Amino acid sequence: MSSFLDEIEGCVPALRRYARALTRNADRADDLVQDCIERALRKQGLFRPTGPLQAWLYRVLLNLYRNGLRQSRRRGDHLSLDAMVVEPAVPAPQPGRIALAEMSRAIDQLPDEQREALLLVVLEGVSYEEAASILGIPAGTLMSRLSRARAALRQLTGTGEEPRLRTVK
Amino acid sequence: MSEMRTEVTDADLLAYVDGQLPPAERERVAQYLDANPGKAAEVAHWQRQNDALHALFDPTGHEALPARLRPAEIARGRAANWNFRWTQAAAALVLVVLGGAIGWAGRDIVTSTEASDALIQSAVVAHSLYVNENRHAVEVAADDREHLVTWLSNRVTQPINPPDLLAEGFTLVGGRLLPPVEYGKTGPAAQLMYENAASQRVTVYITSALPDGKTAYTFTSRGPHEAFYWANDKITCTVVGDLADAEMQKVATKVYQHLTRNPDGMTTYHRG
Repeated sequence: MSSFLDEIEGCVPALRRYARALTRNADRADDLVQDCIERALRKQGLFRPTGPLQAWLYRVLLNLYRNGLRQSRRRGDHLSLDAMVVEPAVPAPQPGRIALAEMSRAIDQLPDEQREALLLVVLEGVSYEEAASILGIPAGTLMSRLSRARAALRQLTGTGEEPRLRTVK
Repeated sequence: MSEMRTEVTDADLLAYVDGQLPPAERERVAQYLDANPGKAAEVAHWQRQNDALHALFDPTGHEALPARLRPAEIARGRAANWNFRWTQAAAALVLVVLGGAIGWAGRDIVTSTEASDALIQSAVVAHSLYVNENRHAVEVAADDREHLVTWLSNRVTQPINPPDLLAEGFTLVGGRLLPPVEYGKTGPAAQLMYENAASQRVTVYITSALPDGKTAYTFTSRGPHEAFYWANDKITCTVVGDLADAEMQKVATKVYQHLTRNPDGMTTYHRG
């Protein structure tokens, strides 16, 4: 039992990071992680044979996150869908790097499914195969979500290196 | 090894940036990028996306964990909460159901004997064995209720009238007879199995009273299972399940109320 607790604790920093990136809100992220651990402790008898702990915890966390989104949408306090409309890119302060504030805003504007996939692969370093399994989607779907997320982020963040992308009106 | 691929797809470029290519493939894509500045610029931008994401969120992964995110703390809280609520529920039951009859004797009713421990263990083992059965979960199914009741009541030598748990969402699957825990000391046991719409199962394990016939109750968890045990001068009963705390409590309370409020509920059948 205590080694199970230790194993979970070993996963908590990564879960926090992923939750923070998904929600961009420290309190909400920690609430999610706490719920996730509680659920894990409740279900511990059921999951053991089914694979790596960390992947399972990501899955639990994602479910909680999506349930929370559904609830807040029912309450009406959500971002509208036209958040996806591409805004004119603000020039980055440092050439060759993406301004962090700009990136944070851009991440906000990605559709949920693209954000979940991109953060799992890039931030968490999860393999494509495992990410597809955690998200419950085929490998091809994962690749197309990653590709669309990359393209959207590129449009949303200017770096001053590709002037042809930004047409001045 | 098959022939080296010459095509470089967008999926290859993504996998390159995400560090998911084997070394040989990496090298091949790197050469391709050297020759394709347009694609190289795109890949470089993706790389900067990665850098920005790490810069934004990696620090969170290095922050000290607050107590509320420590699994050991959460586990402690759960156990305390669970015991507290069971204590409350059981205390309430004792006051309401037994209080009038036994009065201050109730102070002594919380006992934990070796015999009751063996009964609980046996109930939990039987639970974990049979809840996973589909075709052979029970010996006598609920649709033959009259036979089930007659048979189990006769073997256990106490009237066994399966509690109605419909309000809690559980229907009776049926029951089976189980051997005595300790030959000569306790009688055989009847196991009743219930199931809800989500295929969660609860079992109720009933034997005739222990030799001392003392009133007792206890609540305990064994592995993933939660058990609520009580005894009086007629029977012992252990309710075993793996439900969420609140639901488990509701079911156990109902069983307890049913079997104690109406201990001779089978008089019409048993004694005529």
